[in-house]
Amino acid sequence: METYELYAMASVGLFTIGLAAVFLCRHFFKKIIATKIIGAGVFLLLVSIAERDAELFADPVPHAMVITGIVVAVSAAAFALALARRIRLQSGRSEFGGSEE
Amino acid sequence: MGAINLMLDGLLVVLMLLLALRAVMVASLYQSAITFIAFGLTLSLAWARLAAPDVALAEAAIGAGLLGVLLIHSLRDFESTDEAHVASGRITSNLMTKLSIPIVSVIVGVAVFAAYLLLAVKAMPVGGGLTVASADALERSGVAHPVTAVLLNYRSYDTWLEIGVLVIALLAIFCAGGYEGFRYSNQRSGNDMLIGRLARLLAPLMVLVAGYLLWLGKSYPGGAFQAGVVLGAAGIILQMSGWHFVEAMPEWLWKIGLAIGFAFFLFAGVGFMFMGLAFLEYPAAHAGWLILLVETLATVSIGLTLTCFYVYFTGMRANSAPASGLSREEGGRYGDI
Repeated sequence: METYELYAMASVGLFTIGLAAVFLCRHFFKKIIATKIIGAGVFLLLVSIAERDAELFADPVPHAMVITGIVVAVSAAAFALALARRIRLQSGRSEFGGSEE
Repeated sequence: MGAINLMLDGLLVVLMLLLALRAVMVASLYQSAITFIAFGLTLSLAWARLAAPDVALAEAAIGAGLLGVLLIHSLRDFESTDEAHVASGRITSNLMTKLSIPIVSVIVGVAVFAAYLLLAVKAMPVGGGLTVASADALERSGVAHPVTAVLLNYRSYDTWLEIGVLVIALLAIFCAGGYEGFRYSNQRSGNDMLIGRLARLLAPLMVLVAGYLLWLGKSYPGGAFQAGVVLGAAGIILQMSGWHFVEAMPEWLWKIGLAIGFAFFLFAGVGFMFMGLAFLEYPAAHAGWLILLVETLATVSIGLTLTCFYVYFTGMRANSAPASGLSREEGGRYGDI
């Protein structure tokens, strides 16, 4: 088995864990972390495909996509955290649903 | 040798999956955040194993570093007198102990989904890839490192918009929490001797490293994003240790700093259209220094934007009336982050 195959399979695991957690976890904070894990899975797949298509060097296009993707994902996560904190400060709630906590 | 490599990769993959699982399953939010930071670091090891040092640099600094700071800082608001987070965390950890019909069906569904994804990944067509195409054009791109060539020349449109996304994310954060909170953050800090000394030692060094990474991007792994992230980390360390340089900046300078990366990218892209080139196409003879200039300004903007993410986060409480009645002292038990 090649290295990239192993990481491609790991990316499937990460994506699944993240997606399940987005639905199963109730707290905003964990939902944000779960979306980050989904993103990590997608990036991992892209980079392992780049490694598969390597000749002299690995395919640079997925690498460039992942580098910009990491920065964008962090900005989106920062925005999501800011929204979650705002909701918490304004209404005292930190999860969806009817609970008044 | 191959077997040992595969074993190490296998260990790394298992560690990564376990950390990801724990980050979402563990009851305490604090542990969840810390586990997620550890996950980010193992992920950057995985990038290094996949021959993607550029990605590893960006991930280690921003994915694990910056986001970790933001996550832990926002715990101040979530961790409070109520135990809601513990309760909601337990709902997921109960999955393992109580096996009822809905829970079993969720697990089966997740497993089927994963199996389908695995089949899809296996069926991914071989033989595409742009490695050959990008290697052929490398001579005319003005740089010697293929990833930088993609970022700043072949696909500079994506990179340009991506810098725009950063600025927009900052604006969105302002909207979510109020601009005033950012301007008048009254973070108490600067008393800690250790971090003060450390900042004096580290900040100049980090600026130097950022410049080096920027220059290195021409022919080796490195470039505007990595340099910008290091610059942002230096800014955050300075802010944490009481050197509030963002607040001290005159407003026009701050605004220019945030916008200049995006603006100059656009300026360079449109400017050469008058010479008959396409949008964002650089003349091959001048591509080298143009790319360096665009990258330098982008680095400044990225660094400042990332620092502002942090500064905004520390300022948020000061602005918004706390609904939970949690005082800063109570919230500050995780140190002065």
